[in-house]
Amino acid sequence: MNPTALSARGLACGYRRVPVLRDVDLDIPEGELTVLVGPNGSGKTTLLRSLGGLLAPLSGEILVRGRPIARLGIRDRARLAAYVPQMEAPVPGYTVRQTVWAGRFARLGWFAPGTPEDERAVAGALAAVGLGGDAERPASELSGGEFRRLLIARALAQEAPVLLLDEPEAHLDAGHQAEILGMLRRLARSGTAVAATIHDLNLASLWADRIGVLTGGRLRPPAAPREALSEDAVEGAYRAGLIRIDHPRTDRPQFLHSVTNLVMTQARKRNRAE
Amino acid sequence: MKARSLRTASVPSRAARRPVVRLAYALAALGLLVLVLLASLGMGAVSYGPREVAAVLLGKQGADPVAAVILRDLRLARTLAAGLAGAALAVSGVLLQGLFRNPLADPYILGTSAGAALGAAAALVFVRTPGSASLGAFAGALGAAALSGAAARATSRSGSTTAVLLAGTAVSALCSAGVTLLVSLRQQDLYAVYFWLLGSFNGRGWKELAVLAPLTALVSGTALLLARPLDVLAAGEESARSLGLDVRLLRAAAVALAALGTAAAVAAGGVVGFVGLVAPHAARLVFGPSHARLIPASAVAGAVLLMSADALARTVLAPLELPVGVLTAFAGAPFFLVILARRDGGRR
Repeated sequence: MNPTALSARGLACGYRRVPVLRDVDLDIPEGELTVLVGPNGSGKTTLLRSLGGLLAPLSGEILVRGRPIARLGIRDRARLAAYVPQMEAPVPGYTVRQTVWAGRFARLGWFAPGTPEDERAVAGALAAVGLGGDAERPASELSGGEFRRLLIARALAQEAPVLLLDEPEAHLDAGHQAEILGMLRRLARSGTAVAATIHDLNLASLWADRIGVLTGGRLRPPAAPREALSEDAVEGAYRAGLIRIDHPRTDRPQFLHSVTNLVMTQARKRNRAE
Repeated sequence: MKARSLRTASVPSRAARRPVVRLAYALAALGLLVLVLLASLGMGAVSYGPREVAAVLLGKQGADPVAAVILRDLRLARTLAAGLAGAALAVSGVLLQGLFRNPLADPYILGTSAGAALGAAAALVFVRTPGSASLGAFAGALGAAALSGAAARATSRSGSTTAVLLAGTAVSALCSAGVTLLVSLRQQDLYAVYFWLLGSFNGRGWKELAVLAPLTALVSGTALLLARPLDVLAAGEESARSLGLDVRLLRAAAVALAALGTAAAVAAGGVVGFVGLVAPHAARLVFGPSHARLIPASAVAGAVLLMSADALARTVLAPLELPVGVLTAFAGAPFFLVILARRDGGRR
């Protein structure tokens, strides 16, 4: 495994002292795309927000590049870990370029004037997500897929070694999903430690280097897709009677819905309840 | 892409992004400011043409001595007071609209107007010396804002922005009840309190300016330093935090500045409504939402708006002088609706 950029040990996280997740141990290595999957409400976003320092953990420790995140100043943290929310309301009037400039705040602070280096970082981030030609467009006029890429560009402008993304593929069509995930893998290959929650098991399986499954308030430590998405693990987490097959081009697992399986699963659940 | 071509023509802020156009807009705004200042000086119970105004202002020999007294000693101070108060209200409005990320936020959202009213009413009822109402308003506005801030911290552990808003509403209600109580106990002071609250720059002189000018400069200058953090906050509180912004610190700074600006304006001219709400919107329409441009543009818009309103207040029904707040509401409310209609039209 590559060197670890972000790690969590004995993490419990949640809201108002009610833990959503407990005993989480996780390493996010440089140069890899780590994906977290799990059913709705399993704590994907909660974990990601905690890893990004946006939600204080109830217990346990998070280290970014070996430094405890809890003791970092808010700007120091933003220089080490960038977080891309699932969605954000575009602000009318701000251009694409102005939006990405906000990513330089972690470097510049409140008052320092922007330098040519910041200009280069902004232009580079826009180019990396393919929005180089759209810099002067109002952000509110972008399509859903473009806006998602804009949010990623803003995070890239932070030039942080760790990039955390909350369901970057959600609500996008197949083409845009592949585009975003391909981009994330390229970013990982260039050395960034990328971690994303992903809703769609099949996409996660195809693009991830390692996958961690969240279920029952725990995290199964990330492993290669074939291993992480075993039939037992997936059935245990989702209880959807999915059929596992191997992708015809790669050996990565894919999952198919099955009505008969689902009916049987639900019948089993009912029996157990009685 | 298709939406793009449809909207290009209807949104001026888009054109304003080109540096040359932006510069032209900025120069036009400053030209308007000077024009309104000169026109406003000429208007009143006795009107003067631009040549007489220029002669007095430039201190030329042979200028009419009566005109010199009226223009220099009375009208200039009053007009500048209205302009500076308008700028202070507008900058406070921008700060709070940026902080609450709500275009309906105005400077009085922190309870400052009701606080100022209570302070002024208390001064008019109990102290009754000239200038005490201004001082009372200033203290009342700052006190109400401080109380709102403290209440927000007490009720919400994280001191959220919504908590500030709700606390401001509660403090407003409390202070308004206080004003009502005062005037019901001392009905003979009802008129004085009522007219003070409606706002006026009648009789404002260099003494008021000596306080108002430095405070307005301080608030506007410091607000300009907050331009970048306010732009970052536009993304939302959670995103702003992830980008490295200490939202709590920005909130404290913006609330303190807005309270100071509003208090200074209210102390000088009473509770003048709508300027702090409308001026930022007008500025945003032309210069866009980026705070480095929006803050100075709003200051100019606020100054133009309140100077015009003050000039009209003393001329429309001359020799009767209208409360300036009546005019800002009469002109501001329809204008505000037009802006809202245009903005939503641009969004469709």
